[in-house]
Amino acid sequence: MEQFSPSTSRIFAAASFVNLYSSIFLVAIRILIAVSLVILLTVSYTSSINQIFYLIFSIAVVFFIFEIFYREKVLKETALPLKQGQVNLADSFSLEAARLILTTGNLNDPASLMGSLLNNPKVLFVINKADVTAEEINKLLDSAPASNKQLNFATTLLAARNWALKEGRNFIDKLDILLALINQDQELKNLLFQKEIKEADILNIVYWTRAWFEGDNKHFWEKPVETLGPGMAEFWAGGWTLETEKYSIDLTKQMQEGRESSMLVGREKELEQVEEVLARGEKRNVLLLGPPGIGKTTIIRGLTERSIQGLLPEALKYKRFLEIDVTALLAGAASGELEQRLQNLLEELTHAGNVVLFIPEIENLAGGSGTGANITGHLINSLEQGRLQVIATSTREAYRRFIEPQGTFAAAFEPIDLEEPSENEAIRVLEQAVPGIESKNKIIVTYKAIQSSVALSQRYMVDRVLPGKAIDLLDETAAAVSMKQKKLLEPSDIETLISQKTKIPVKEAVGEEAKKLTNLEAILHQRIIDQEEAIVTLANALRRARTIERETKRPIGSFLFLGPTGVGKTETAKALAALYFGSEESVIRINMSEYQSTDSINRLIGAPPGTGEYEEGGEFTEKIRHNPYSLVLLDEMEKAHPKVQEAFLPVLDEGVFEDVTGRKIVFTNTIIIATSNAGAEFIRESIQGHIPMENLKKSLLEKLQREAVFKPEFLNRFDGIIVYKPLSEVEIVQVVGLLVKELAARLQKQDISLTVDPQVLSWIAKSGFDPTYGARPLRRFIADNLEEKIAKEMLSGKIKRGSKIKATVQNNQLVFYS
Amino acid sequence: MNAPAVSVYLIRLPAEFLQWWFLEAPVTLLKILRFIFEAAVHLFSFKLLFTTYFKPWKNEYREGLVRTGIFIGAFIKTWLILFDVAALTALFVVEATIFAAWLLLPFVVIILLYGAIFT
Repeated sequence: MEQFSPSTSRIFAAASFVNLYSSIFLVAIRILIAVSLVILLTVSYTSSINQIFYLIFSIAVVFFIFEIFYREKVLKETALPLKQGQVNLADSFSLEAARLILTTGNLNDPASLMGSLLNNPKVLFVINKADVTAEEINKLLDSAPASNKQLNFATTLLAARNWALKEGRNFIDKLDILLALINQDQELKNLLFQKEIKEADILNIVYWTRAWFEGDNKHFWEKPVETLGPGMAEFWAGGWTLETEKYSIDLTKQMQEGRESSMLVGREKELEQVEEVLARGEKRNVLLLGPPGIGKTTIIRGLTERSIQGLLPEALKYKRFLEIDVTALLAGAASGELEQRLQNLLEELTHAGNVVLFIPEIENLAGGSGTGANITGHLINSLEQGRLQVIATSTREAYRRFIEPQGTFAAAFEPIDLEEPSENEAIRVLEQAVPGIESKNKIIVTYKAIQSSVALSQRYMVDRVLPGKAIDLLDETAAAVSMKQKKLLEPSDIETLISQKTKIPVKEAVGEEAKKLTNLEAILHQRIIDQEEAIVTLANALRRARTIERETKRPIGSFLFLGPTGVGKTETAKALAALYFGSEESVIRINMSEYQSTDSINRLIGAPPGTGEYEEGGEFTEKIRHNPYSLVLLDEMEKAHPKVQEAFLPVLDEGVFEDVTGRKIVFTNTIIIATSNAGAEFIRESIQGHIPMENLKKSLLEKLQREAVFKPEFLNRFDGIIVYKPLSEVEIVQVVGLLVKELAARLQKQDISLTVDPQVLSWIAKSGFDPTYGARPLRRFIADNLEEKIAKEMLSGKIKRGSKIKATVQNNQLVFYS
Repeated sequence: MNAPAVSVYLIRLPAEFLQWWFLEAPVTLLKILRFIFEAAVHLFSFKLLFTTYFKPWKNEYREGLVRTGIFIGAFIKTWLILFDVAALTALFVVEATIFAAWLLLPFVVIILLYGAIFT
């Protein structure tokens, strides 16, 4: 059984001594002695009595020796490593933690313990990054109820030990005590709960703190001498690169001058792979593949930094990393000149012997640039013979299109695919990037802001990858926060920026918006008459999307609207788009009757390679790619070819659609609504036969599957299938009422007031309604009759600004009164 | 909580001091001195000057200039090797003195005290 016995612990004995020796009283005496000794030494040196000088000198040396001993031994007393079956837990505390315990008045009082901890800069860094202030904590602990003012210190110690072990450390320090205290004290627990800081978050913050304050703990003499940089003759050992420097950027020089830093975190596996390839005898060429923002350039910067520090194998140590400037190389090169430039460059590099060449976006040299220049043929010899060491970058897509078809050139490289880092790894990368962002914008970034930046970029910037997209989002938000003269960058700032960019409400729904979401049905009914099932289903889906975290990458919602023409299917979609995306403009309407043949799928996802339209991509996929936050309305879905319907299965299932170039089109932030008139007659007959809606829907779906209009697997993938019923006479009058109200609102903008008799509504409903097209012709009828007449009266001057007109029906004709 | 008494630590202190001064600290000091010496060897490119002695200056490869490159290289490197040998020897002597001084310092104090009191 472990015990905590400071009285027998070596580290606590040292801590007691240090506390005493560094007390203000003793420090004052030490300074006094030092000053006195210097004065006495000077005086005795000038006197003729040697004995006094020897005496003072020897006392001074003893004093000096003891100070060295105190600093180098006593203050550096190390803890015994934590291990199973340890007898005294006190032996495994750091000296600083032991000193803290010894100086804390009441260890069972959370306020007292926290008070001691808050004197430490590391502890302050942790709580500030958790968006908490020292004042906030002090106030909270002081006002805690009596029942929460007692702490079992023994339990806290065990918790501290567990935190240390969880962090992979073998001794307990102040941060472990802080973590244990937070874990034990209900008030602090509640505070972090309010701030939405979870255990994993706090561990990340502590990791960040340690990286920030402790960095590399090694003494200088424990590091390899190579870390001091290259020796003086290294520079002479490599050849001149005067021609190359015209077309390249010296990354090594930039890093040595402090103009660039690597910010490389993790990626050990990839680094090892790159090092292995570059250090071998032949084909020492690596091609890093991955989408923009995944960290390809960061890996190269990381290698550059390690090369400067001498931390790479012999073949890469103290090499100059030159980034080829493809634009400069291609610029203004007349026919034959480009080849000459390249030839000179390769010759120089071969003889220089100390250069690693970085070629970003190598597809630009392989026919992928605007000029279409392909100079791979000139590079192949040098690449194959291992005379050069090259790191190139490209995307998978560009590799497939421009490099892979050139077999020999592609074979000269060892392709290494970079995987997107996990969210947690991305957070740690951002922690490295934050100091730069903070100092550039003169703000403080909280941990939650980093976390939000990663989570929100992952959800809403689906066409890019971590960590690049999260860094860019954080950087952009920091600039916006700085312009507002705010000092703290919080998660809400990131949410605001995302909402501005996507038009999607990202913040937690509170206040007016929460009220609006609660009354969604009523709001939708302002535009849609009846169709209760549709309204309720959509309102529920919207409420879910705005309140509960989504786990999958599926669309926000996917619905199939079945019903006759003119019953409000499209209108519902528009109303939904206006509510969720803020505008009806966010509707991407695709007429599926244009996709009736098998080859129409080419228009959907793009034409196959080899055809002229291959580059253009799919008509549908391109629309979504450019508007990833939209409502996709697939009109007349039943008319699409079964293969086209099948193509939508992964969209509804996983929210991903792959176009012909292999690019993933993500539907995670879309609402998909497919509409269909199939079975309209069946619906009409069933309604007339008073068949209950539930039975009607079941029979309709069976009929549609039986007649092979839709396959079961297609129907099953929708979040909801909604049957719209034909409108009754009363409902048609209500629709007319809505349309007339809309017209009246438009006229009101011109200061003309329009009121209509109920007779007018019934007359329009009767005259304008068409059983085949539903309510759709009503709008045209109102335009042709009511609007047309008002327009004529306005032209004749009878209706003008300020007019109040009333419409009624006389002898089956519309009449206006002023 | 029973805190340890400072007196307990103070009693142990002389033995701790002797162990540290004569055993632990010299080992660390040797590591530091060795690092400094190796750093000097590395920064003066002592090994590289020998391994590249007959290579042309700045890897000159153009026809007609290679011989001149070798001559210039060997000339400069000869002088640098001589400089390196002198500098490294001086450094070694200084480091040896520091190490000896560390070990002898407590005895020097005793001798000085003896001199002050008994002469």
